[in-house]
Amino acid sequence: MNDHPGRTPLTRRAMLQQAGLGLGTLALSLLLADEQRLLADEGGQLDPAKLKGKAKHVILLFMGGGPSQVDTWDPKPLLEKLNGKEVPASIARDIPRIARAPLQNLYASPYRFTRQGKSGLPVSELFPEIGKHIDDLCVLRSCRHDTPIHAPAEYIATTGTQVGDRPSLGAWINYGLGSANRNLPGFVVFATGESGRAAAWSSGFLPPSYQGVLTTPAGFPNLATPEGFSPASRKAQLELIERLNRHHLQRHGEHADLEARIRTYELAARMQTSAPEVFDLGKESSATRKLYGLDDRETVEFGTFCLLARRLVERGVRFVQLRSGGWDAHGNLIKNHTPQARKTDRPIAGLLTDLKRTGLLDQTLVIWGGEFGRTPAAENAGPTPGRNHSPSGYSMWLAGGGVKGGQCIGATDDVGYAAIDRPIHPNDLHATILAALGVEQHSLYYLHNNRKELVTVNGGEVIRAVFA
Amino acid sequence: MRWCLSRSLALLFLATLAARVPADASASIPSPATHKIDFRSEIYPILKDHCFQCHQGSSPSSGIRLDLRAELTGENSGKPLVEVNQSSKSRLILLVAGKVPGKIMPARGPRLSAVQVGLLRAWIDQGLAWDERLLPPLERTAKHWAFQPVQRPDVPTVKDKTLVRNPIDAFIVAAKEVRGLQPVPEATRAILLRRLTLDLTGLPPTPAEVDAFLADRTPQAYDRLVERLLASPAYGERWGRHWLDVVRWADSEGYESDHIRPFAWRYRDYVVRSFNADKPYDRFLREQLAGDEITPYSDENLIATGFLASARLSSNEEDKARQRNDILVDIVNATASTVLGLTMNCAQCHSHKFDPISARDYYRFQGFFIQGAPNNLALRDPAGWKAYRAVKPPEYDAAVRLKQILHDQARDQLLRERRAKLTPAQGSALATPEEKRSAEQQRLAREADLLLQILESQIEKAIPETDRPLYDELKKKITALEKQMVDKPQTFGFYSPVSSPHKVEMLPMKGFYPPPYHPEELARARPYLLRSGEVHERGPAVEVGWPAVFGPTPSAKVEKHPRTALVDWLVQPNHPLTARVWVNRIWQYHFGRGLVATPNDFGFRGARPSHPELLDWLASELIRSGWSTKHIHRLIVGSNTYRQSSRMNPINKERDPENRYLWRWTVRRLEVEAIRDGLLAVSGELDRTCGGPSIVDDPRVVRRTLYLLQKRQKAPAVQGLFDGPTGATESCPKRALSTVPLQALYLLNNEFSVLRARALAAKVRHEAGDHTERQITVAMRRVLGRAPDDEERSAARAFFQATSRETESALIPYCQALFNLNEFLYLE
Repeated sequence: MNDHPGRTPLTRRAMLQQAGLGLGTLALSLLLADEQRLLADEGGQLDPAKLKGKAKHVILLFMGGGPSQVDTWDPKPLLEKLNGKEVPASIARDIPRIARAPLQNLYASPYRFTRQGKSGLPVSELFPEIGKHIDDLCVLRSCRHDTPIHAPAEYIATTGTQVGDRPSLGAWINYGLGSANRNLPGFVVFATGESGRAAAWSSGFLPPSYQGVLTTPAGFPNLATPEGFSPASRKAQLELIERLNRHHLQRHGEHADLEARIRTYELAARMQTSAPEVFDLGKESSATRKLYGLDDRETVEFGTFCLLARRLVERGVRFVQLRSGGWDAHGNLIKNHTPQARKTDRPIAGLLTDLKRTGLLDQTLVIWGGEFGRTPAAENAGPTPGRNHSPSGYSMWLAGGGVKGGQCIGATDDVGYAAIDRPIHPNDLHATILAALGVEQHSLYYLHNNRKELVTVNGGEVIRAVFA
Repeated sequence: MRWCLSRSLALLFLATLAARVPADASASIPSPATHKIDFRSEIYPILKDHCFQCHQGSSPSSGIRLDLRAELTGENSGKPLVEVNQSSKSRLILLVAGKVPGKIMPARGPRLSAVQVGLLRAWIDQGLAWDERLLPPLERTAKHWAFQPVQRPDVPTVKDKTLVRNPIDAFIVAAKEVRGLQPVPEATRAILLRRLTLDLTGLPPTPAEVDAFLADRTPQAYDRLVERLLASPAYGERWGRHWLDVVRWADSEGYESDHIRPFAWRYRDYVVRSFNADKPYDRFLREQLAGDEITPYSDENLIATGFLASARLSSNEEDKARQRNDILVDIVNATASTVLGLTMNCAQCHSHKFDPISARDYYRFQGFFIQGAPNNLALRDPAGWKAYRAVKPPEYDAAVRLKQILHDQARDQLLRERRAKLTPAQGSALATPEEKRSAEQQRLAREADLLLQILESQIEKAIPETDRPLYDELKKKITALEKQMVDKPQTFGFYSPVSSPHKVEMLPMKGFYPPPYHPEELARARPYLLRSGEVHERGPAVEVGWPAVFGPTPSAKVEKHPRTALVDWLVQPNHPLTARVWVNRIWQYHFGRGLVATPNDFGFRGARPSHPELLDWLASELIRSGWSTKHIHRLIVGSNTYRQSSRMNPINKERDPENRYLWRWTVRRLEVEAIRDGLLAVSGELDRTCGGPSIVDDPRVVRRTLYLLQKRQKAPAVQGLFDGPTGATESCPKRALSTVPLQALYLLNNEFSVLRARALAAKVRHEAGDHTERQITVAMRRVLGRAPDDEERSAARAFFQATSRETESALIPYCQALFNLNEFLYLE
């Protein structure tokens, strides 16, 4: 962007070239340090070494479909008394009038809550294992936005607006901070449930290389050496490519892009040798595998995601997004939430235990939550009520990465419908996640259509109370 | 829809206001002064001393500035601060008099005295006199370089005339001489052949083409090559794809449901055909922006409107007004970016901060499109209809008609029931003509509209029990019959039943809630300024027109055929932007960077041209040549500038490290299409069939990448890897160029690459037999268009020796290694 009047910053590449380091060792080591980031210069990237945040990594546990707040992290004793009744007028007054927000037929939570840990925060019986970590969790009870429809809400939660065309938070952080491990991508995604939600990990207007790499437990795409290639022939092939490309470069003369591309083969080869190791869960002890629920049919899928998340973070991956779809409890709350919670409770608790045990929790921000919550009112009047979508007041939690655990922030009204104390918009949460990484929200930007684009384009206030 | 900070703040602000009850509304406002007011001596000092500290200039507090008369009257924003001649109703007066609850102006400093308020009131009541010398209207912009008419400059004279092959070189060399940049040699003929072939067709030259070109030592060899390439159908496939990027075309709707548009491919083929035919650019624009208005009718013109129809569309959107407005916003933004090279996006919500485009201008521009809609449009294509009728079973029409009757009965019944449920207030709101509705009635009408909106799924459920068996049977029968049928000839285009002189049949669109099509509503549609871009915050009505900075819009012409009038204006020879923007794009696709480095932003904040006179010269050449794109290609690729080698020159590098002044060829990676197509071409598998429906990506598909299904939410994975189109959410003027290990892994391990390597190996074996030396040469000639040199030969030999012991054939990995060479993947 050197063509803008009044602004002549040097791109890093130009800086290297001007310093006469085009092919020098310093330039190369810089190139190697962070291949992706050096090759796309639109300003606003940051030097991770200089960031003061405690968190170095983020694991987003996205509960697609929308878990109900009053059954998970926001117990409402008043609901017991009002079961089957209408929302009292004094409360209804402050509930935003949006679609799918009935005020009749409140539905008391069928789940019991008990106070746990030193903090004594209430925990739903849905989460016996996560509950043991309550003193590490910072529960946000006043999350809110205005969109009661799944996909747009998921995009608000992950990209900041409902359209789904802006970069996802993971892509932003991948762009801004890069991967701490040059052998692995900076942003990795595992997903179950609804398809077609790729906008939740897309790169928007950032270069496509920053998008999340959608991965399966088998590994990254294109990692397996094709059939018919022995390790020796692959090695010889890589040597041949290197030799011919070097020869070409020599004939051509100094060129940073060509040089960088030659280096990507080293990186690719290293990724190819190191990645299978990341995905080889056989190396984990049976105790660890059990910790994540890999011994149980119900928990093995999400447990595998969680264990891989730890292994990726441990190796320097910046952002891991795990999606557990299916929390959309319209028809029958119990039949939905009980198995959904069971699928994820042990794996997530295992992840927290493991991160803590290895000391990684201090530098890893873990986020739990869906695109919205659910109505405290029943969706159908039958014997097996469900709950409808409700973005007016829902719960999420944060742990690790400098977050102060054992506390609750914000509150909904007495029936758990609308956030009334300290409402937290997803934009506030994004600003807070950046803050946990030590990133002031305006310092990370990208010039797009001559506009300095930010993660928090609609503003966003850091929730300071989150941090210790 | 683009969310802006100010938009959310404004909404929040409005909400807060509405929630509060006026505190001291009854208290009186100071009465207006009774004498004739002098702006300069009586009003200006008040504004200057009490208001301008916060409310002037381009970044005023709350976005409100008082140093422009048009801002006070709300002409630009739809949010007037004064009602001329009615001071008691003017927000400015209410604010300074403390009559707006919770807010008083000035926010800082002393309050205005009763006398001062009285002066302001009188000023407003007497017609809001202004002194333009003191507070001039926005004008900087009228002086902006890109808004001046194109002037054909003289071709400069240069010191070293041997460097000049055509006028382009004169401009380039002159700029180089000023900066002391030295000439570099011409690239070799082999490199030039490869550069030209890839640049113009997106495919590498075949070994036979290489031989023929190198053997042709006549002076016309190069020009003949250019003509051959420009005449190749592959040229349109390559350059058409550039255009498709700019116009955000895709095969699906986008957003959550992202339904496939099964006939969107016709527009893609139209674009390819147009480039191949060297359709004059003015004609090209006319067909795309106003194809349905052109007389006489032609299918081709209707297909061309796919440009407008490429807007994304949320078929899940229940609020039909919003759904429609989002489409119009998409169309306005894409049109302005593509043709004018202006980002109008900002002005959707607030007057543009840097360019002379107000929110009013935005909605005036929207007016050009407001009487039309995207749809599946029936074509007249006689052969297509013949084919359709030939296989249509005789009972089909009757079945469809009967099903439609049952369907409509159920719908009408539902509608009656819903109408009966409306409250009297809702009913009367609906009965009131739109423009006469109060704010409350607007809200009620919206509620009522939502209630009356009937979804297909609801209609299906509402079929009476007695009719249900018949209805279900008909449905089943129709589906079965359709399996034997072919589609009616149709295209996904944009059509206005109001301004088009032609009758065009609408065919059904897929989706849960496709946009309703009501010709009578389109006929009534008029543009309104939408406050803060919010569809339900309707401001004053505006006249259809282009941005005021470009002069007046002739209303009579616009009235009848609005989009034709728009194109007439765009293609006027003295239009400051159309030709400049297009030649700049052509330049960018040739050299990797435009003369203006921000091809979609020629506005105040856009990049300045590196060679302003060359830009204008090319723009005037475009117009003089009858808007011939190929003429510009010939000039560019015929220049010495284009033929330069990419060799480094230390002195030049020191003086112009970014190569802004084009002292050498900039080597750059090929686009994803050229990489994928290149693999298919050298392996001999490429299916050169042109056009037709898009194909779902699969490693076994051997058509050009252009023809892979472009689903917005799920673009072919290889496109994401190599910076190709992914979401097509907006006009993409320039692709990113990233270099990451995942790309190397794709070329090493992906099934697509392996399949191509196998095919290439088979071809090589066929040609060279089992003779390793010959295999080495033949494979490299196919991939790089040249034989290996000594070093390459010895590297290849070493590889064969090391590998042959390991695997049955070293040839396949050798072939695949060649796909990974920079020389193959970069435009040199």
